[in-house]
Amino acid sequence: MNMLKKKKTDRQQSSQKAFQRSDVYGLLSLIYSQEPDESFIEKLNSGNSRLFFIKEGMWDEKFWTQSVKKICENLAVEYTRLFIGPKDHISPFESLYNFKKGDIRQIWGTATVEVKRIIESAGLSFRKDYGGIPDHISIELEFMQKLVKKEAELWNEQKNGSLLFKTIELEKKFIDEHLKVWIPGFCQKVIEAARYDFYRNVAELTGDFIVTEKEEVESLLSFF
Amino acid sequence: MRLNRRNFLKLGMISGSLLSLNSLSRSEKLKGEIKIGDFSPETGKKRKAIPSACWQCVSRDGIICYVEDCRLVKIEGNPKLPRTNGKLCSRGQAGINQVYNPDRLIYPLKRVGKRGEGMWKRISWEKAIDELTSKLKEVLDSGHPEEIMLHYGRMKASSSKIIKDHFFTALGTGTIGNHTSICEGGKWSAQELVWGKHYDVNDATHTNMILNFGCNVFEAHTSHIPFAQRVIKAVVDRGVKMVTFDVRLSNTAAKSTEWMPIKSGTDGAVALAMCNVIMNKGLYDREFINTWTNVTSSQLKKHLKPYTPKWAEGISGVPAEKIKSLALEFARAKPGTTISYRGAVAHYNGNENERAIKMLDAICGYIDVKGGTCKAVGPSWKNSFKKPKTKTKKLKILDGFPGQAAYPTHHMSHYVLKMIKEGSHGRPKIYISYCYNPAYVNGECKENIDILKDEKLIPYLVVVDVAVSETADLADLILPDATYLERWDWEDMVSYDQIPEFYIRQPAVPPLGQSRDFKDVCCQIAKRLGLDLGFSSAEEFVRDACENTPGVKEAGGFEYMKKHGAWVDPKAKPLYRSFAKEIKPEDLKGTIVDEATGVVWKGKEGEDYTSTKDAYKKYVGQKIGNKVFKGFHPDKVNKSGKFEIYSNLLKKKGFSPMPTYIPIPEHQKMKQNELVLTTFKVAVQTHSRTQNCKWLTEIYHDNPAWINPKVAAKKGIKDGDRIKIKSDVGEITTRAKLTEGIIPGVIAISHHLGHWAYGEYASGEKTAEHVCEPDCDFKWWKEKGVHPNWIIPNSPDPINGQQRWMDTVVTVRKA
Repeated sequence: MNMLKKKKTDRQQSSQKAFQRSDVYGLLSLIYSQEPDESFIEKLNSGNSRLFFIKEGMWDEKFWTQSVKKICENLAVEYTRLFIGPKDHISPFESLYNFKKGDIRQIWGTATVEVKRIIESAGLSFRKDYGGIPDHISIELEFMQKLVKKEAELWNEQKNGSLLFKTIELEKKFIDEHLKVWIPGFCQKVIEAARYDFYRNVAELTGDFIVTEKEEVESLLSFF
Repeated sequence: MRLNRRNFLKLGMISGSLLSLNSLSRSEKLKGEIKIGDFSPETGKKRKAIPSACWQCVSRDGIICYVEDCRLVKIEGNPKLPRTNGKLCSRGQAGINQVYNPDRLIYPLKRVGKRGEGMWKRISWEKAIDELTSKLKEVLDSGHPEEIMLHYGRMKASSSKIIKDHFFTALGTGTIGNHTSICEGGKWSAQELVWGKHYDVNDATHTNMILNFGCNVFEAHTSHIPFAQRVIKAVVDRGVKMVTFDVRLSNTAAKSTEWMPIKSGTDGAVALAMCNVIMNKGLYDREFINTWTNVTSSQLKKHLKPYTPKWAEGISGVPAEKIKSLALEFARAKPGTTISYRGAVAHYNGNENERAIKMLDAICGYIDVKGGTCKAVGPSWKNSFKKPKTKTKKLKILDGFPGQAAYPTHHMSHYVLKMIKEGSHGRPKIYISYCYNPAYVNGECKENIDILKDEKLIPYLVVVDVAVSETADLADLILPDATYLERWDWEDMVSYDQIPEFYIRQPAVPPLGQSRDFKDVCCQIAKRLGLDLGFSSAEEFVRDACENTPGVKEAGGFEYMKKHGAWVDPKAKPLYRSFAKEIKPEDLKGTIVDEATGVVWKGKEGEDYTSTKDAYKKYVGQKIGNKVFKGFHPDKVNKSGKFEIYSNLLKKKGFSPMPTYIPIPEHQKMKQNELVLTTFKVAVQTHSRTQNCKWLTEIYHDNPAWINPKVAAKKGIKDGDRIKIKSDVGEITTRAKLTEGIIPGVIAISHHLGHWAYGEYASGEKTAEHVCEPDCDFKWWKEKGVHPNWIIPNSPDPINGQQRWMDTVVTVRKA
């Protein structure tokens, strides 16, 4: 069936799904971009969120019964140890993992340039106060959050079929040439190095999510 | 003319139709379209060229940074800056690695575990500045601003002005330590006793002979590339004879006309003997000695009498005949110049070695003349911001224990931690290290670490750096500094053409991540503390200087400097013999003459120049006959305006007033199986701050100990064997490199390697949990070298306080 001739209800379903995918990207981006604060921890440790993680076997009860303050402190130290250092750490920049023969392995490497160009070509720009590096894992995930959100919106606009196609194509390109190339390996390192289940689980989720995303966009494109 | 413009136009039309023929157009070899601008030959992408200034070493060469896709991709020398002349060493080219090093510090970090435990939390700049400000405020409120200490490794030009002269002065502290005593401070102190304000420039471009005492000029030196390129040109293009005295066949010795092996710490003996020969043969410059020095030729002859070439041979191992012939050749070269550096000065007798070497120049009349040994000429920048008038207080922990060194005019930084440990002269409550790594760069690393780790001795330790150094490992707060390629400065390094050269440093790229120029951080803290510096950023300070400095201002000020990076007055003439400039009578108003020295100064009637505190600051000129000349302007000590071969200041402290040879006490007591450990530098590293640069560490990452095969054979050591080297303060294990390029009594190790922090490339260390690095193929080497400072005691030259890097007595055995 041609995607563009889908029924309205189907399109709404696809849109909803895309919104959800976008939110997953958003959540992961948030977790990698900064140490969790107390309100985030409180929310994570309650209601549906808590139930979901328990159900998925991703819940270390002992850890989560500590005071919120203590949890935040532990996770802040762990975040720094894993992703910032100052000594040996798992640097969250793509260019340190995705490079070709002849490239220099450095922060702001060839991959950084490519990622920056893709993001800016899509009409986005970096906030002036960001001052960070374009291929930080949280930036790449945030880009996907916004891109997939665009996809979600386009599902509801029947006239924009070719835009929708191009959007999903860009998703595929970004996943194939960037996310898929380095994030699963990066996550594996985090899984091995993490001292708390929180980051181990996040890394596991991230790695799995990227794999499913690759399948998802391939499947979406096959219908066009 | 056969064709005019009109005819050419006709030819053009014909050419066009001819070119349209397929058979001809196929012969074209170039493809693509012309793009106007600066394009990379490799990638075809547009590049932006930004002139700036290097900082990998203290030479601070002019550079051009090429930026492509917002990324710094290449650095080369700036041809518009004469001192650099478009040339740049490998360290300078590898500056890119400083910015993008995978282990670069990019966030402020706060310690959360025990000091040194390695537990950190990222904090925002807002929080970091809050914390530091409140700590500073606490100390300021206690009325003891001197308990705030800044200790820097390199801080020059506008960085020094902003951080030291403006910010820390505004705080009210003078407890500001440097690192010069572990570099070459003793050389400068010795020069201050002889000819006043330091820095000697060897005018290699015009010299006819070079005597080099222990300087590895082709690989190091504080003006490495500007100086080395001129020496190379002299030696290669003009056939200038260069003789290098060194215990080791450095690359400089190898490229010299002759390598003269010499026993460690005996350079002064050779220089004295050369002076003896020159005086006895009557080849000295009578006019210079009689007019400009404070001795007579007969005094000199009498003093030098015992220092015969034969005597010097017995001490130095340099053949007497060689000393004699080189002395004669040098005196006849007219002009010649002597180079000296750590090989001659980082000893117990370093001060005297330097004085003897300067005397050698002086008696030949080679002082501050074309082709001789010249007084440095640098630019004089003018800022409109006034230095705060705050009266500062300081802890007496910068110059070693009382009486330990007679004139430590460049401080004794290697003793600061010992002084803090001992405690009787006070301790800083806040110790801020900037571009400095005391745990690693001083001798006795173990003790340094123990002191820095002890919160009772140093309650609050802040480290400002671009990578996590051994000291940062022990810090309470780490502030990520902008690298030199991301910040503003005006620069002022000396000229090798005796013409002031104005140049600036500007960001090639913005500071990576959240790194921030410490100068800007100082401005931000000042604001929080309510201190009005008059400016709010380093950029503003540099802009102000460009708009207010005569010459630079007229050339176009800040905009001109941003575009060209450098400005040199096209009409400027090289400055020589500045000492002989007569001071006009109208400029002598309000001065008095000190009868004992002939110094003309702004003292009060009846005041004695030599004994009045800081009288040198009021020096105006030197009276010779009935005239007053600029003379040799004193600095840091009250010497006269003459070239002082005879030093009353040294006499007062119980040392020989005339340059003399002092045997090194430990070397006198050496047993037969012992060796002297010396350290050295190579061309692709600096002491401690370049090992994080992958390109450099890929070239140089291993530093086996150089040992003479004859000595090794006696100890049963073969090339490549693991050996243990032991001194009074510790033991290290390394490998032996057997070579005739080192004299038998010495074992030598370069001091660049063996980091245990400063990132993966420097330390070679990875924790097991992080498994395999992604660039295993890229980092193909496993070695990280050995740091010799663990076994070198912190010990001063008794005159100037210089760290005695070259005096350590060791035993060596097979491991």
